[in-house]
Amino acid sequence: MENIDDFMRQKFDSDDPQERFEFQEEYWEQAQALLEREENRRRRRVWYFLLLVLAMALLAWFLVLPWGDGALSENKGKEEQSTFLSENSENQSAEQRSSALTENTENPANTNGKTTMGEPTMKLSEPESVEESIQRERNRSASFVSEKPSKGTQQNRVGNKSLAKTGKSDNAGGVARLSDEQVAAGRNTISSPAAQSARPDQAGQKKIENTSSAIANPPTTTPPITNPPITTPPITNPPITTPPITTPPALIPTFNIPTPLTLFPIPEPALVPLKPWILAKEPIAKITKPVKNQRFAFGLTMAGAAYQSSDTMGRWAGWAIGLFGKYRLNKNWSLMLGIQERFVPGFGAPVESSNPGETVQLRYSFGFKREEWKRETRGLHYLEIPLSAQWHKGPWGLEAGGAGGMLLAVQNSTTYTVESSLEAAKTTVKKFTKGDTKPYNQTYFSGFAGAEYRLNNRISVMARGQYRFTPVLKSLGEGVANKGLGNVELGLRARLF
Amino acid sequence: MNLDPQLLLAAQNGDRKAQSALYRSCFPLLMAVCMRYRRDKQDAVSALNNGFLKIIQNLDKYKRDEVPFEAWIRRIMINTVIDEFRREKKWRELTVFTEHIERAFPDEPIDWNEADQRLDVQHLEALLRRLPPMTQKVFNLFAIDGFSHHEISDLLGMSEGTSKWHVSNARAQLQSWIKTEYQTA
Repeated sequence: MENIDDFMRQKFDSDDPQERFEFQEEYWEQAQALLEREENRRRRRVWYFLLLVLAMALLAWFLVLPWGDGALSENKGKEEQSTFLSENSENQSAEQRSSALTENTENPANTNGKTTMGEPTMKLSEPESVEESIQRERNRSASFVSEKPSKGTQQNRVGNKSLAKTGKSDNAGGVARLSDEQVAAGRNTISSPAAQSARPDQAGQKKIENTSSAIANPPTTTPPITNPPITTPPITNPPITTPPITTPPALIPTFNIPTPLTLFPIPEPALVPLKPWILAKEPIAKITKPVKNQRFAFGLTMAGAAYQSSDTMGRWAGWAIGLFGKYRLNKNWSLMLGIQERFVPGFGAPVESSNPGETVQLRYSFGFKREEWKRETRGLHYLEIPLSAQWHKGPWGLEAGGAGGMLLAVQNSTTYTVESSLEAAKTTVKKFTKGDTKPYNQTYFSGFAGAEYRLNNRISVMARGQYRFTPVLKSLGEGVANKGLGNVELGLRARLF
Repeated sequence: MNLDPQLLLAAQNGDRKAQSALYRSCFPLLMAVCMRYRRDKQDAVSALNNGFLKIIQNLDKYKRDEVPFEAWIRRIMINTVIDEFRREKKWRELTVFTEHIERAFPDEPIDWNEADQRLDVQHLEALLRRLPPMTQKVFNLFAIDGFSHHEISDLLGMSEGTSKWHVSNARAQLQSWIKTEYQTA
């Protein structure tokens, strides 16, 4: 050995630590606690990532996809919407509306105009043989029943047709029962065979055989033993009360009511508190300072918003600025109410209403003079009152709620160009001119959901998606769908006190 | 240290029993490293557990064919200890403090064979712990664990000159103490 370095290295290299350091179970318990905490943390991170992906997907949905087309195809949806839009139109008759709904129906057979959806279903779902048998039985019953069927009986007939068309489904038994009861009551002699014909089992066939005798006999003389399934007295089931199952769901025009937004599901591991007995010298996660025990908070909010493209100009950037008040209900929940001004970009009204361009050209002996006015809608200003519920956990918060809004003003820009043969074109642009508010809906309702991250005790960052259920414009014209409007926002909230 | 690859795989996949077995196997080696760098046993165990957590987390990156497992976990342990030391951020004050330490140089050369016979590792560990923390770390890294001054300067955020100074200071101190120790032993 030449120096202390070699001496030390040699001593430590030749050392056998097995003898010196005895393993104790206590050490492993500490290490195990550390490992468990890290695993919980990692699991939580995975959940947060999934939540983030979900939030991103939601945002993408708000941005890219149109809202709630439902189960119907897009064309069908447009037809429906156009139908609903033109509901108040006097020019469109009831027959036209029903034809829009009952597309591809060869024979509506809706003489009294009471059911528009039931008949095409029957046409589509009922086999031809059943149709014929119904017709045959109808003819036969006409000879047996002497009195004229009342209006209620007709309705019942329609209802029973609807029942019969669902005979293939699980409701076949119920249909058969209802038909037999009506046969027993002598009120309807048509639907029973149709319903029973839809039931392929032997019992159904027996019922068919019994039908003719049941029709011929008065209801009081019908022996109950011949028709075992009849258990309910006919009086308890009046024929008018057609059950709602008669209309199959496939052809009901589905209204595009958007599903309400719900809070994100909170994963279970995220709620598990850190175990206090874990020994660690330094906390892995940054400990946030507790919020002051204060119920009320008041502050400013400002956000930039990206809207679905609103018009041909492709404007999408809007903003919202205002005040908010927050009331803390308990440790995790709070309510927030605000008032803010919202700027929605674009949305030029239809040409016929208020925003035309105009050109006047005058010709003189020495030349010409041309004046051109052009008015363009830059956006709409709303007064909005949002109300939301917030859930907090550490610096994070999730929120969801609704907002009502009122149109304050329409911001137009005017471009005036004058040009003549003696001087070059001169253009004047006024960016803030008031526009006509008549083509727009004056109030609206919207729903939103988002997240908030508290940077410190005063300032927090928030991001949320919002969907406005009320369309911006009152109408876009015949046959054009006027939908709601989605947007995403990113902004800051500053708590003043 | 011969470890079953299946054990490593199971420990990597979160099998608690395998992790426990691995912990027992690695404990003496890691404890020896920690005791050289830390002040007391409790500190050393705490550092060891943090290092073991890193070992478990990085088991998938371990390549059996390239590095012996022993060297690999030793390196992770040293990095963990140095990271913790750096995070404490007390070393700057302690560095200032070291300048006031009296540098005692032995008058006579040390008989290393005699020192080897009379002093065991525990004695030497105790001597190392008597050094100022920064000097202790630098000397450990340079003299025993084989780091260069350049690497040490990177690890501890100091210049190479400072690193050399710490090593020189540690040598002088240790020689003086060793001589005293084996003379009195």
